Amino acid sequence: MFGKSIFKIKGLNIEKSLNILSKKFAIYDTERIEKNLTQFSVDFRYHKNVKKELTKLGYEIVEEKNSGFLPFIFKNLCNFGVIFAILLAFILYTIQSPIILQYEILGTESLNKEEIVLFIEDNFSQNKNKLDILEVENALYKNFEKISFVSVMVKGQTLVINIKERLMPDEMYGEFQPIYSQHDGKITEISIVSGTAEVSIGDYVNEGDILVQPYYLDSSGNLQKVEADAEIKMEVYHTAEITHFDTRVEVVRTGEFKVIDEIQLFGLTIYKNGEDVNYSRSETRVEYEDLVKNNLLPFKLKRTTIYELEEVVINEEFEEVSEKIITEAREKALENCENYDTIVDEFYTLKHISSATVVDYVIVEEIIQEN
Amino acid sequence: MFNFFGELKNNVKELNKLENFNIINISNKIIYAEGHKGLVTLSKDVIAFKIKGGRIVIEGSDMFLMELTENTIKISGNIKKVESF
Repeated sequence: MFGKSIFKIKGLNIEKSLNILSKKFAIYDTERIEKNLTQFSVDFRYHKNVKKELTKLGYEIVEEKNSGFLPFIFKNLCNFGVIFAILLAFILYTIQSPIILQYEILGTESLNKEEIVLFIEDNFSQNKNKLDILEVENALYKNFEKISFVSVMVKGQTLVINIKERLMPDEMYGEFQPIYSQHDGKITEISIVSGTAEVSIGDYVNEGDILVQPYYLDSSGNLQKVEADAEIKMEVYHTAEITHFDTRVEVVRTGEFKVIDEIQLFGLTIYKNGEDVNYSRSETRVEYEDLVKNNLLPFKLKRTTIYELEEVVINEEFEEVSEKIITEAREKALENCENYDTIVDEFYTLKHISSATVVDYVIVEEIIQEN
Repeated sequence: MFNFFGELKNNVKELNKLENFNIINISNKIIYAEGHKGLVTLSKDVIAFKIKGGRIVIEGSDMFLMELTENTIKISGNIKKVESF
């Protein structure tokens, strides 16, 4: 039973009427509530006929209730809101159903999917009824060099694009860029995998110089583009220079200093402890510290330390401090060295000019040039 | 389809001659009858219906008709007595 109708009827001699009704319809759950009040249910499909029969038999229908799937459908089909919603949904579906809503691109490895989607959106209709699949296939094939095979199909509201990319020799992939030197140095080893060497062993190169060109000349003398690839080792020189003057003037702290504390709120000083000083030469150091850890009243302590400075004439022969100066120069040269394990040599030279000595320290590192 | 009354009649030969009505009582809670000729009385305490050549009266409490068709009747409730007249 997809639904039932429950009748509550008023009248006498109900047995006779039930016998008449039962000859035409099956009657369920019949209960005599009072002497002249009876309730029963019938299949919803016959509720109109039962009503007619009951009226004909002269009974008063006190109550009629419908329940189940069929009554629900009938009830809602008579509801204007539901009818309107169904109509609206149908219209919207009809309008948007021919529109391609998404793209599914299969088989791409190096091709950019977004680029393909943009190309189709820019050049073709989004209405699948107006879209010529063959035209899309041809346009994709002509405009994307890497496509060797393409098939397009519409599946529901999705445009499925199946692509097979063109296979090229490994050396033909890429942007055909030359290999540039990343450092200043001397070539110690070069082994070309593909491309044409621009340098040879023993050549000195600067950063940015071309080491390998992305092409080669074939047997007919024609230039063929390839991805430049080579194994290159080079010696890189890290240098540092320190000049020592036998007589020089150095500025040093005298040991005198003054501390001024300020409490600030939003950058404004609300309390200051200490007075400004007037040193002829001075060095100032400022430190800030949060006094409270909340954002409501962010009080800060500003501590200013002023150191007094003086000029001192120093007389020092290079021989007295040579080791220290050379070590300083070495450390300075090492600052540019990325990997100490690849250091192959180091040396320094001394140059004496009147009352000064220039230390030139060189660290030689052997590195492998990256392609 | 399995028919309880048909099977019973096949086993007991004399029953083949009897085609008037069939009644089955399930635990004094449900009465099922085939071959009724019309409802006579319907109340919570008494339900009576005609059969060929007589009448069946069922007494009990909280009784109601679960199903009534042209030929069958199904009664539910606390059944105390079933009498044939």
